This record gives sequence, C-alpha cells and structure tokens, in this order.
Amino acid sequence: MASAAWNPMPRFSFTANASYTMGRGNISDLKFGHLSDFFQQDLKIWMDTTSVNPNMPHLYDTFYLNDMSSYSNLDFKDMEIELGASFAVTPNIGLGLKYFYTDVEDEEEYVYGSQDVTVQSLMGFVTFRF
Amino acid sequence: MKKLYISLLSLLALMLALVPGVLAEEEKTVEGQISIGGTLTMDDIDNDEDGAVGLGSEYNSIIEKNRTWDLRGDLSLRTSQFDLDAEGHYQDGDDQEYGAIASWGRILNYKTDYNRFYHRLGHDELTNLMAHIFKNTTGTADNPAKPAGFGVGSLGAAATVGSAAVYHTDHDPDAEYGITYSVWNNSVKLNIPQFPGLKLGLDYRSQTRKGCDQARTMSKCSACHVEGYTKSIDETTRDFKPKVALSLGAIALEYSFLHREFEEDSSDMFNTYNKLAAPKHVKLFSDRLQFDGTNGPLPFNRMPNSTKDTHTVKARWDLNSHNTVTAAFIYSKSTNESVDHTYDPLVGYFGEEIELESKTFTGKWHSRLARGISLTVHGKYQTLDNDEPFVDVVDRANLTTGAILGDKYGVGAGYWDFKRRSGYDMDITSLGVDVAWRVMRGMTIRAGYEFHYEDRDNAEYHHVPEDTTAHKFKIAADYHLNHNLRFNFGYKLDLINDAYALHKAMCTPNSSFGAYAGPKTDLYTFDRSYRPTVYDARTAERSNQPNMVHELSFKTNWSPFSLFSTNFYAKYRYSKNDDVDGREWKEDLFNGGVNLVFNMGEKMAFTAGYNYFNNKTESMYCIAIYDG
Repeated sequence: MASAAWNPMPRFSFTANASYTMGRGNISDLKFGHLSDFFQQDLKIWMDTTSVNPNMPHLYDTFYLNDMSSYSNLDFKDMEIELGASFAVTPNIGLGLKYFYTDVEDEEEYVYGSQDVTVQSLMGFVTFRF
Repeated sequence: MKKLYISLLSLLALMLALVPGVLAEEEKTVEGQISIGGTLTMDDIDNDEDGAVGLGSEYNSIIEKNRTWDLRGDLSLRTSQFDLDAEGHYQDGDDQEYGAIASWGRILNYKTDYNRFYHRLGHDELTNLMAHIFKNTTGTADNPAKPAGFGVGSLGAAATVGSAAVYHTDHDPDAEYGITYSVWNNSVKLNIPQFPGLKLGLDYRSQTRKGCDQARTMSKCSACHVEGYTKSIDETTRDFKPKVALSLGAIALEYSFLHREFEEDSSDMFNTYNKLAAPKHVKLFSDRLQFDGTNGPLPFNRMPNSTKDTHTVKARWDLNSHNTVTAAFIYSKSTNESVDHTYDPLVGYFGEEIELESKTFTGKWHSRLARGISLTVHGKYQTLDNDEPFVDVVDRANLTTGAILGDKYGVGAGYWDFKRRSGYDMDITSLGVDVAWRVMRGMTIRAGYEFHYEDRDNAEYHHVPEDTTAHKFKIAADYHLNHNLRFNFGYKLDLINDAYALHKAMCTPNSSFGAYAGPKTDLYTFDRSYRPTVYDARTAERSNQPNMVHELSFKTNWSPFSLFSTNFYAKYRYSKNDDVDGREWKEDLFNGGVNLVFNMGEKMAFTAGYNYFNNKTESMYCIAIYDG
C-alpha cells in the first residue's frame, strides 16, 4: 500500500494511492486412509448425468474426496490504483479529475467461477464553494 | 426522497455561490460546497460474467452502467440559535450517503445519517454436485445398465434417479443475485435547562435488505438431490430506543428501552422433495421418514418475523475522587412471531410464539489505590432461558404392514416425541481484576486475571460438556524511551477446562473402530457395515475450541526524524486442545506488518505499508460417507 500527495503550485494538487494484495490459502493433509479398502477412481463417474454405477461399493469411492483439499485453494492478486488531480480556477471554483483502476487475478476458481475483474473509471467534477 | 434532498441541497448551494455579496460577509452564516460530476467506467464487465461478484466489483454498483452522475455537497449553517452541518453523496440509485447534525440552542440536538449500497452475491451453479446417477436403462460395456430389481418406482417421474447419489437442479441458472442494503440512523437528544442533570433521548434506526439471493435445499432418503432456487429478499429491521439519563452529582442513572421489529415480506419458498428410494428396502424405511415427496410441496428457507425488547438500567457512583462503582442490569426478551400457527412441527408451526429470555448483571469497581497504581474489579452474570416447544414426531405407517415403527419395537406411538431443548440455555459467570502500575516515567505495566464459567442446562441432550471453566491471564508493558520511540509488549494465557466439545463426534483414531466388511452377495445391504463402522463406532470427542492459548504481541512506533515515522507490529497466537481423542487440535496464527510515513513537507506525503497474515489449523476428522 502506498499513497502520496503533491502540491507543486498553489492551484494544483495531485494525489496517488496504490495497494497490492496477494492472498493464498489451502487445506492440506486431508487423508482418507481408512477407506482404502474401497474402490478407487471409479471410471464411471465422470460428472455425467448419464453415467451408471450399479456396483454399490463404488459409492464409497474416495477419488473425489481426496481431491477435496484443492477445492479450498485460494490464490488471487488484487491491484488498486487511484490517481487524483485538482485545479483551483478561483478561490470558489475548482476542477477535479480522478482515475480508478482495479485488477483482480483469480488463479484458483471454484464455486463461483473465475473472479477475474478489470475495471477502470474516470471521474470528472466541478466544485463550487460558498 | 433522497434524490430530492440532494437536489435541493445542491440548488441551494449553487444559488448561494452565485450571490457572493451575500456569502462574502465576514461572519458567514452559510458556507459549504457542492461538487457536480460524473463517472465514466471503462473496460467494464458484463454482469453475466462470473467476475461480477469478484473482489473488484462486489460492492461496485456502477460497473455495468458506463456513465453515472457523481454529486456531492456539504453545508454549514451557523446562527445564534441554530447550527446545522449536512453532507451528501449521490453516485447511483444504489450508492447514496447522507448525514446531518442540527442543534437548537444546545437544547435539542438531532443527528441523522443514511447509507445505501449494493452487494453483489454469487450464484452457485452446483455443478460439482453430480455423481453416481442411475439414468441409463440400457447399458454398454463401460456403462452397465441399471441392475434388475432396482426398485425406484416410488420416484415417479424421477424413476431414473437412484439411491446413494448426489445430483443437482438449478431452477434458475441465469439468475444474478444481489442485495441493496440501506440503513437510516436517527438520534434526538433533549437537554432541559430547568433540570440540568436530566437528558431525554430517542433513537430510531431502520435497516432494509432487498434483492434476490440463492436458496438451496436437499432431498434425502432417496438421493442427495440439491436444488437451487431464486429467493426474493425483503427484510426490514426497525429499532425504537427511548432513553433517559439523570445525573445527581456523584450519582448518575440511565435507563433505556429498545424495541426491535424484524419483518420479512418476501414470498415463501416451497420444494417438493424426492420420494423415498431405498432399493429393495423402500417399504422397510417407509415408516422411518418424517417427510418425502408424498407430502407435496413443503416450505424451506423461512425467515421468521421477530421482536426483541430490551430494558437496560445503568448506575454510576463516584464514592470519592479515587473510587468509582458502576453497575448495570439488562433484561431482554426475543420472540419468534412466525411459529404460532396451528401446530405442525413439520413446517415449523408450534401453536405458540417461541421466546428467548436473557438477564444480565454487571458490576465494576475502579480505584486509584496509590499514585501510579489503579485497580479495577469487574464481574458479570448472565442467564439465558429459551422456550422448549414440543415436537410431535410423525408416526408414519409402513407401506407393507400398515403399522408404525413404534409398534414394531413395542413402544407405541409418540415414543420419539421430544421437547426441543436449547443448547443456549446456560448461566455465564465471569469475575476479573485488572491492575495498572506506572513503574516509572514512560513505563506502565498492566496485568489482569479473569475467571470465566459456563454452566449449560441441556448439555446431556446435546452431548457437550456440562460446564466449562476458563482462567485468563494477561500482562502488557508500554514503554516510552523518548518522544521518538515507543514499545508495547503483551502476553496472554488462557487455560480452559472442558472446552466446548462434542462427545461421540467421530470414530476413534486407532484400530478400535470396525473395518468395512465389504459387500455381501446382496449389493444393497448396508446394515451390516454402515451402522457398526460409522454410527456405533463414533465414540471419540472432538472440538475446535482450545484448552490452552498463548498469545504474544509486540508493537513499536519510531520517528527518528520529523519527516519520517514508522511502526512495526506483530502478533503470534498458539492454541491447542489436547483434551480430545485422537490427535490434538492446534491452531497457529501470525499477523505482522510495517507502516512507513514520509512527510516531504506540506506539499507531499508518502506512505507505504505491508501486512502478512498466516493462519494454520490442524484438526482430525472422521467423515462418514453418507448413504443416500
């Protein structure tokens, strides 16, 4: 996170803010060793509604359970930048401009899909003081 | 209404700004500013994209609108009898913020603020919930046909879906979810000049949540059929809080009454669950169910209307310049108002309203024992008492014999009926003492001890400890080496006996539990393996609460020269519970960071910060793979 403010001249002022967040998380060492007797990696369950699995022991397949730890993997990067400039036309009237930049990179999508977002906004305004 | 408010404010401010002769007086009665602008959003995302709920847009209401107004204003009015400060910000219909403070001769004071924003919610496509679906009626070498005798006829139209399966139905796959949240706070305070110690007040708060969210429910005793629906959200919470305070020299008294109303006005959700499907045993299980598809549509995801009334009495007595005693009593009653319809526990109707009652007593004595030494003794007692509604368990007739399950075991109807006893019925007692000692100039040491005791009334019904005792110690030091350097150290130790846990939570982590015996010739017989290896073997106690906690913290502020200052902070907490069966439960947490501030004169400042957070939990589970 970093921010800066700069007034090079009485009528001009500039501001800048930036932040970078990196988040990572995971669950590890999920073990289902006691279920090793059960049939592993049932080839018939390909997440397909037309699949058939008439052999009941296959219902205890730990293939997807052992993959469960990856479901909670978290890996994202978030960059936020805000730049601002203002100019005092008169003591009572000012002009301003702001730029916002947001970029989120989601490296581990899951339930809600990819959370990648890039948004840029430009704001202009005029201020009257009284 | 709020748009009108900001428009009038802006118009008033603009008119005043254009009449400098009025506003340029030396003693301004009115001053402020208005800002008129707009926002252009580039590279926006389509709301249909998954990223619409991501970190960068979760609370951004304008990303799909490209162009929006951005209006701001603030106004100050000063007269001999009336003061007003108001401000507002309008960016979008779902992004507004206003506030005002007014005072009439310091006799009547009014404060209000309003905030409204949009919160995007995710849409779980449920696609990971798909496995073991019996759908084919003709087989191939890789996909054998559904076995003969697989009796799922009771499923009706869904007859191709079998047992011990998980699948999903998203009834509104293209729906986009989000909630518009708004809160309006108001506070009026009246000071009566004729009674200087008397203050009257009234607070009013209104909070709304409106929009749509995803509601999910699941069938069982057939397949794990998870179904997602779009649920409208229309919640309103209103708080009314009159209060009075009286100060009589060394004694101060305060009373307040809070009346809270919660209303949910959205339409009810209904789901028709799958019918019972237990191959070959469908009739055997038919008398053990509470409900299935034969009951037709049943409500789910209900949010009851409720009220809460709270009486609070506080007293403060300054015994002398060194000793102060404070005490408080709080009585609270919460009422579920949506369960008093004709008795039907299957849909959550108990024929009467359900209440939760709470009484809390607190007391504190603060004393300056000597120069540089102060002592605080504090205590609290709280008792929670819930109503215990009677639950009439459905006695369904067996499809084959026509008899109920109670008859089969010779216990008759009503054997499994019960009173629902709350796990929150408990008494909580805490007593503590804190000492602050100014050892020398620039150094202060603080230490404290607290005894905490929880006594649970219905522990035997919930298979949890009857009581939990905790001893909490803490010590901290604050050291000012000079004006430029300051240190804080802290250490906390918690020792807990019988931390909250669940008895018989999982199988024991050794070979004492039964091994899976494997299928017999009948592929659909689970009694011989599932019950002894899962239910009966579940004897070990587990908890996610510690019975010992160490916490170390450190913070320093350093300003070596006037243009530069920095602070560094770190906290490490180690928690564990070795009073559980199996491997002990452990948690490590570290949080630390540094902040830097450079003041490059009045025209430029630079700040930078870094934070590191790490949390690691180790726990042991024995997860039952549920059959159906």
